[in-house]
Amino acid sequence: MTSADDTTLFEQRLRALLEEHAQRASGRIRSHLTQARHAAVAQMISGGARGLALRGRRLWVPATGVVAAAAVLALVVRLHQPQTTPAAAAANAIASGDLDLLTDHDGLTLVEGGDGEFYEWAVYEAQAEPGQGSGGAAGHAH
Amino acid sequence: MSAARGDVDQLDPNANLGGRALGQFLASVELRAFKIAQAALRHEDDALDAVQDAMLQLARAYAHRPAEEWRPLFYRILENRIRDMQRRRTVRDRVMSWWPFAPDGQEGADPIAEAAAEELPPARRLELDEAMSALERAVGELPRRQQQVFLLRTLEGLDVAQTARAMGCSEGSVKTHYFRALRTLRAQLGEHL
Repeated sequence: MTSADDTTLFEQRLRALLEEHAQRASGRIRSHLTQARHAAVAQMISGGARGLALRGRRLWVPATGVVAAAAVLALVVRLHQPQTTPAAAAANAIASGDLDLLTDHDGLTLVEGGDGEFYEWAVYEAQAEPGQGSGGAAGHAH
Repeated sequence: MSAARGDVDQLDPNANLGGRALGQFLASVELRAFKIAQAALRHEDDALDAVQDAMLQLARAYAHRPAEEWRPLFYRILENRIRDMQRRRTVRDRVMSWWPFAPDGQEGADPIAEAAAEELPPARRLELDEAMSALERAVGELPRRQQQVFLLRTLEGLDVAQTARAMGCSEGSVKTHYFRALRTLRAQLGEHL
């Protein structure tokens, strides 16, 4: 028998002895170990359920975030969008008309120069027949 | 409580299967794990605590891992737990050495609770007791790393790679510790085995 065989035989005897000794644990030890095992299994099961709930929550969190981000984006876009309601359009037109008058050099010249002849013509033009307006005004002005 | 349990079952039906597999695994290792912890800690209740902690930690953190990985992981956790308890005990012993009324380590043994689970013929039992006492003494005198490697390899049957994972060391280190442990035990127990 070689030394290696001897060692293997020795190991086998040790293993058998240790195994037999391990199986001879008292009732108290076995009871404690059983309780510990049940606690561990219960923890795993409850942990698994909690994990499932967490996984569900993890799916909801990004979905909620995406919806919230979309709502904020829509609000920002809407605030920066030009007003398209009729009242807003009229206000815009008045504002732009006023701006034209203010920036129109000729208009200011008319007001400042007190050009009454022009206003007389304008009134006349407004009271005249639609078909004769343009030619009559031109003739009267000159 | 039962309702909550019912909800759990309804939520994750795989948890029951996993729980059964884990229960079977723990049942297959618990006695040997206890012996390994007891050899290192030399205290029954501490050994029970260490095994219980290892079971709970495995269930909490590693139950989702493949079942083939459970054994080395479990013994790795147990090894860490034993080391923590030994450190704590060292500190406690230092403190208690200054205390005039040192408490007794073990509670009074209950003869019924301490009775062996299986009765053996008296002659066989005597023989086994003698051999076991000699082995326990010899294993207890081994350096801690040699002791743990020896028990994991011989009692638990882990191979070199699994033992290395469980011990957090290299395979070469496992082989060295194991060889030295065997040599020492053989020198001391030759006549008992």
